Amino acid sequence: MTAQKITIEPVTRIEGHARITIHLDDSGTVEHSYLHIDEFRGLEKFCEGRPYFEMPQITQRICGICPVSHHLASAKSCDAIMGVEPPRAAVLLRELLHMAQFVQSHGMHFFFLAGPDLLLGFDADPAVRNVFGLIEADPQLALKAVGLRRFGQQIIERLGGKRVHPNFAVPGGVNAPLSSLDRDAISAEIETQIGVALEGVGLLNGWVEKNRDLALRFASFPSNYMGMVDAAGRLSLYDGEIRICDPAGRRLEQFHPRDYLTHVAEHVEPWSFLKFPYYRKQGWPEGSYRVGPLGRLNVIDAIPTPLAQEEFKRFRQIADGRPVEGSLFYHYARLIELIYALERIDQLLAEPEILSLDTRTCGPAEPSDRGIAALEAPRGTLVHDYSVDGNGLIARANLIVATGHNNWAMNRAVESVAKAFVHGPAVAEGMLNRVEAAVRCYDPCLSCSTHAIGRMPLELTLIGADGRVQARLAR
Amino acid sequence: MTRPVVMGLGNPDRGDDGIAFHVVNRLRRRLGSRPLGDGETGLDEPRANAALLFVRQLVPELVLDVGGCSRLIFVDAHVPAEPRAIVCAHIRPESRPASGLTHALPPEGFLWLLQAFAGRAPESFLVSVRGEHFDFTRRLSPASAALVDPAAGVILNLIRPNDDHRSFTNHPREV
Repeated sequence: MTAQKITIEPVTRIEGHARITIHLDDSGTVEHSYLHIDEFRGLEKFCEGRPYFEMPQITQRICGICPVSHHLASAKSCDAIMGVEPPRAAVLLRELLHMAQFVQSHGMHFFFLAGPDLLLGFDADPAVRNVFGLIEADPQLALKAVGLRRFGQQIIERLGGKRVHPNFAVPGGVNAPLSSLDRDAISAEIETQIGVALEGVGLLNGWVEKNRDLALRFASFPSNYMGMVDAAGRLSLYDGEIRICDPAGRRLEQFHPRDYLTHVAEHVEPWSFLKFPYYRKQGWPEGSYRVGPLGRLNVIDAIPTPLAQEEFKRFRQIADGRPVEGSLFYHYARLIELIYALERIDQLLAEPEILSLDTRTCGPAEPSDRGIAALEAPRGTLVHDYSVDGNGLIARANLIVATGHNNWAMNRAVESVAKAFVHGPAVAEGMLNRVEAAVRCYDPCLSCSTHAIGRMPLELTLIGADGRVQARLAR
Repeated sequence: MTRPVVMGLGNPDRGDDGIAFHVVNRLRRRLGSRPLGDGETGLDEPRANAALLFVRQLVPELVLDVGGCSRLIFVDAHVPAEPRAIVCAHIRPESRPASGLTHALPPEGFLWLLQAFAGRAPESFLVSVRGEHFDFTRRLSPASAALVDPAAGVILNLIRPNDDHRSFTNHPREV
């Protein structure tokens, strides 16, 4: 029975609002811990009744960090509803937008959200263990990181008119071609930014070298993994099939995103607004899996760009070719993907068709009343699933968001670190920061992920003017 | 970059909160530049004598755009609780921010970033203009619209070369 409880609220340096409770027994030993996602936004519900072609603009308002992922997943779902294939130039340009978002999102996370822990230390004074402390400690590195993020944001702005919530992808393609002027401006900066990403890898590898034991055992546990692959089994972030592997790296499943409901189910716990997806065949909780950078690099066979592939080979050596289990290695995987995204931008810009004016397919179309599409968002696999009525109005929307996939893993990571570092209620701040850092490894985006449909766990308490509980309704 | 930079801040979709957009465009017309269109910031323009920019909010990336400028003038709206119509304040980098970045970065925090990255922050002013209505409209209230021209005049004085600004103290003053 729980004798005492430690609460960490709010969890810092993540997107959204969460708290952690650590339950101790009489002897002060950690019994259980929970990551509670308390916010609820319910965007799926108010999409109902909107014309399907508005969805790429509406759904990206879920998030200010990864709006591009929702924008593109939505546009792909709308392609399916229209029954059209976007022209090749549009596919290239959508992927370019997508890679730009990976650059800004991954760059920001490593240098500004995770960086303070790794570069200043888990036990550093909380007053300096933040982005400002990092800037003071190494202004030149911080300035490069700001430039890296700006590079990604500027590509998004060049394509979609705005750095946040761009207006670019439309059902059937994109609404504007790329000019040669913009292509050349982007190209001119790639080499510099790859240098920044490689500097980040060097910093992280140096940290791992000095903290090898901690890196290997920190929130390290076996799980299944999920991520998208291309036809050759290589990393693919915009399009492909979804692969699930077991803790030993053996393939359990590979399927088209439209079949996701055959393979993925969701579990609900009463203490969180965030649902728990799992691999349906194995059931809950055995079928839980991890997504995002670590999940992806644990399921792929290779990366189709040279520098990222070289780093991927080193990543694979960590566990002698088996999946890497330590949560801190999310940061390494994230940086490898950052290199990939930058190299992929270079590849995309070298495609002659990227300047084509043919950017949208309007017909002929074979419309459908259902559109399902997926891509890999920075934090993991993102599925948009829309059903429309005969007038093209959204009858039902289901969004399975990356952070949701990782819900089980984040809880497992929190518990693992709490058990390792928390002994009794009088615990040093640095130890609690380690518990938070376990969540940060997953770079959760909670605003994105709390859009559940159906019966959410909810408790409503009616309190009278005298302060007494008049009624309680729970489901 | 040795030119002065004027950076308007606000949301033109929220009535008088977007007054800086109108002030910046008034300055651009006076100085012979094309006014900014909807969604334009002026950040990508060829270099002119003065950079006349408008952004919805300050973000760290902007330090790369304004680093090294000779003088930085922020333009913003203030709420009616401040009775003065136009306030010009000489501002300095805030002391070290206590926590990490939030969704809001005030001009003084932005100056702290500039100082941290470049070793110095330029002499800076905040010119704020009183807003009356902050509803969902792209139109300015008549009272605030009448302040656009005077505010532009204040800023012109600040960016005029070789001007003497000794009259500006650390205390905000009404203009």
